[in-house]
Amino acid sequence: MKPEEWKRVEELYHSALEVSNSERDFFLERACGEDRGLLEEVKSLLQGEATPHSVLDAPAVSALAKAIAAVELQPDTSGLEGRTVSHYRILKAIGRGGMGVVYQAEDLKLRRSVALKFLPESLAGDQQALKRFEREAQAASALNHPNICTVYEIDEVEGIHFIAIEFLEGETLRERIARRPLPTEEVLRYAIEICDGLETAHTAGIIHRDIKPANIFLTSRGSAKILDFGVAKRITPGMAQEPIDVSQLLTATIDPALTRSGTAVGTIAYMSPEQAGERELGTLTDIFSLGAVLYESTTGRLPFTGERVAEVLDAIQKRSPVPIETLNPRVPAELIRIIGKAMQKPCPARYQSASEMKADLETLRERLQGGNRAWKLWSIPLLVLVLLAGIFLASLRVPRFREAVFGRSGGNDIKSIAVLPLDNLTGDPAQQYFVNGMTGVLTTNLTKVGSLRVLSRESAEQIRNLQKPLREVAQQLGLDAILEGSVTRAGNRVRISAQLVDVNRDQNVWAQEYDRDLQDVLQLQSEVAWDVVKQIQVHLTPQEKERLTRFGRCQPNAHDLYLQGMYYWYKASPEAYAKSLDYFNQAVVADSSCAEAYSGLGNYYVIEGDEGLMKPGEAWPKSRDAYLKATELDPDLGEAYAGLASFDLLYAWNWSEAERNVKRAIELNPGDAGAHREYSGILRTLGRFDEAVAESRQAREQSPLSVSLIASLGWTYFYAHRWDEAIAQFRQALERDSQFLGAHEGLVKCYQQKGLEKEAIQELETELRIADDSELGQAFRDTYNRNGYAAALRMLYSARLEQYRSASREMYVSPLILADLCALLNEKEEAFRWLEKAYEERSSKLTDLKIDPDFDNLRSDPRFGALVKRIGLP
Amino acid sequence: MDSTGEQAAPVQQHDVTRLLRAWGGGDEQALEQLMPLVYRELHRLAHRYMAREPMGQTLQTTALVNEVYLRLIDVKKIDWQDRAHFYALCARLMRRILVDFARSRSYQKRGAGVAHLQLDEAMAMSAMIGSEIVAIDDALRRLAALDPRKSQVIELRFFGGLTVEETAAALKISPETVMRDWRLARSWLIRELNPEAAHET
Repeated sequence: MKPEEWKRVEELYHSALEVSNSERDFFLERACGEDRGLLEEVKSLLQGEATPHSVLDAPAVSALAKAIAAVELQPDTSGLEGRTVSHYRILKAIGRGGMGVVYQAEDLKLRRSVALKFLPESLAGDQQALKRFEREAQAASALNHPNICTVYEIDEVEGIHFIAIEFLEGETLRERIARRPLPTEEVLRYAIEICDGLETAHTAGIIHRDIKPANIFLTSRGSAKILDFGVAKRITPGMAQEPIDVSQLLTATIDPALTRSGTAVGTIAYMSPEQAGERELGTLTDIFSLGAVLYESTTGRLPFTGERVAEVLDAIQKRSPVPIETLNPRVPAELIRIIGKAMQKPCPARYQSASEMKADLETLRERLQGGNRAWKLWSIPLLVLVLLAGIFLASLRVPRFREAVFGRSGGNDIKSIAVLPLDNLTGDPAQQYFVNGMTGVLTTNLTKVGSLRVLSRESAEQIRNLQKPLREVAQQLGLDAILEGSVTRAGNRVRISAQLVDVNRDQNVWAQEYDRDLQDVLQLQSEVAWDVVKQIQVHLTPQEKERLTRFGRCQPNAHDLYLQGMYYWYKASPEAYAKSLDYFNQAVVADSSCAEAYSGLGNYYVIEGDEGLMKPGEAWPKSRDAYLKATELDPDLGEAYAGLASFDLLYAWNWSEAERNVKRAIELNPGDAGAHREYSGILRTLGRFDEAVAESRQAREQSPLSVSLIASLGWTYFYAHRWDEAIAQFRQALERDSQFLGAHEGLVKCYQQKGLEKEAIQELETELRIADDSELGQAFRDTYNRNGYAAALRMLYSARLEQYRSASREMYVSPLILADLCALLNEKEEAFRWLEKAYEERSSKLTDLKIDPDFDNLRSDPRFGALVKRIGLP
Repeated sequence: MDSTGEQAAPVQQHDVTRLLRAWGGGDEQALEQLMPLVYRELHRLAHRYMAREPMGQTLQTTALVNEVYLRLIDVKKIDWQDRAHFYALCARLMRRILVDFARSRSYQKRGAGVAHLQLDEAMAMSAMIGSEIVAIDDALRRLAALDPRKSQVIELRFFGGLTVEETAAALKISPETVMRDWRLARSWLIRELNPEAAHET
């Protein structure tokens, strides 16, 4: 082009810009006349004016810097692969998040896969970016839920900041939807799970704020997990929410260097009206977004679309989405209603909580799974499809058919479980009480589930002592799964790692690490149990669900004191009991509203009263008061009701109240062996021996390795006059512990009832040997050899009577013991005198008076019948 | 604020001024010494962008770029008469270095010197910016043949990052003329870069 021509182009160009758009063509036509070349030239240049954005509009240095920023925000992945950071060996890049690359890595300590999310090195010095990074870790780690991707830890090694999160296999919902719309059954399953996760987050005061398909992960195991709490926000009561600045999003969307096309738009599409309108956000924003996600899942289309961001935002606030039924006629009407309710524009019209939405989804799922009625909800095309499938699958059993139609329901057939004592990784033996306490509470929490058989704590403790392969033991005990793990405690942090092993399949089903502030230990305990229950997908009643997720409100220091008390209580020695009392008292002082602490106190006084170590009139009322206080503070504390039942039975002699309380205890913790044993004791007192045996058997089944529960079944058989079965149980108890005195004593009595003198003598000798009473043992043997069986027994009873009499000068001795020995010696007057005393002070075991053969010598005396009547024994 | 940069700047400013003079005087060696300094500023600027959340705040581009220059050159210490010359020199320098840099990113063949800035294949957007800058450089050569002043306006503003007033001062023309030149040159370049679809974004 010649300079003159160029000059003409320039003049015309600027002149044309002076005229309005509508007149411009006319102006140029006239100005250029015949010169079509000039006209085309100017016209084509003017199109540049209409180009709103060009790389030229910002300095090159800025564009390049943004390009660098974009690259560094998505850093090169090859550098980290194969490296070891902290105790993680980085394997490979598996994805990209908003803040960088995510790697699969191996946790070298725990030998498990984790996902590592790195803060790009270039951002490490940036406080704002670091804050966001930490916020994600904090928000998510405050939540432990099977449907929320678990954050294990956030750490910094040599300036590299990273978050270790649960490694998930599967794909995001975004990828899943991209393949094809999801079947209703699948939508329902993950929608319910997401609701569950959201409910937990919301309850913890955390709003996700960015629920979208890319943030929902569907694991290959078939469960859904909420990802990326990077923009989550904690609700601060009384404080206005900081809304996401939509104008910033707009900038981001048109900023090509920072945002890959669609990223920000993708987020916008699931925004709630209040988010789009930059208004204050509450938990209901997540409900709306979930509704939008479900809309897309069922239809494959976004509910709100537009050419530009502003249009999408406008649609969210004003327009109704295309009705789902017109896009996919297979979607059940009820699901359409649920999605519609979640996506109501005014908040008050929406579901008011995730749990409310979940309840509707669950009802729908049950209806769909629940047989014929469900078919009505399915529209004809799918019905035809199903019927066709039915023809092909006709030869298969119904469950398989269901599985084929609806997909596997995910059950892994775990019906029984044992919680092995958690390992103490604190490195401090003094922390054992805490570790044991964690094991104990975890076990108790699991016993809340009726359809799950939970091996008692006592039995679980024995498993490792058996020195047999775990799998073998588990199979012997009829266990499907084993939960093991460890506890570490450092300062105010407590870390529990738990691992669930499917015994039948010999594989790890699940592993999780929980890192919490000690303040949250109560919540942590119930969360772990909840997670386990979720993993094994056992059936839960709504009440069980509620109880599982509820936890006590003890002050952490009081709870800690309670755990120390229980530690000594379980040690079951007089000195240990004294210590436990001390701790329980301290716990009550530390927090007078700590239910467990009162329950612990109750437990202490039961032992004192039941074992005849303290006067019943002193011990039992204290135990009752403590238990009553405990149930008042926590009406769902099962063990306290079991304790009250003990009081009712052994001291108050109020059988109906005893039965009522024990039933409540069993209802609250169906898997608690102790409660079943308690019930068995009540039933035998009432003479309902068959029921007593059934309860005792159940307790024994829950605690097959517990010597005391095996012996307890022996005693139940004994009182039911089923001598041989009793003998079998006592022998089994002795197989486990040959020194267990109670079982030897049981055998002696059984043999005596059966007239097996030799065996009885032998057992008595063993008993004396174990009790380390060699002098008495020798005398007994001599008497037997010289004067025979009856004389030897008399000699023994006399000696014991003398022992107790002299002891009674120093300490409290239950008059019932003295009455028992006198009865055996056939010293009726003395026996009745002591019995009267026992009646006066309500000796604990007096309730067995009617069924205990020790008192057979007294039965014919009218005073005996009268006493039985006065006690009120049926 | 990056504390290391704050401390290093005064020393560097002196160096940059000296090196820039040397390079202006034809010393190509000086360019090699200037390059890492400019890269450093480029990265610092990049970090400033990264510091914003991905959905971040509106970036005060002009302010940030000005900061780059203030770091590189202590303008106040340069004679008023000299300043125009310096602006021009600076813009030329930036053009040279940035285009080299963009080219290395686009083709990845010369990326060795900036190894830690390896191009991520997925970041097509970055690559696009790189190739656009290279294309602008090429087109600018053609524009210089047609209208040297307009080419200079682009060089000063786009590569040099100068404001309209600074550009005007450097070229000794009025700001209005700078605006007029800029407008036409911009349209011309857009058409050159995308001849078939100049109307598209």
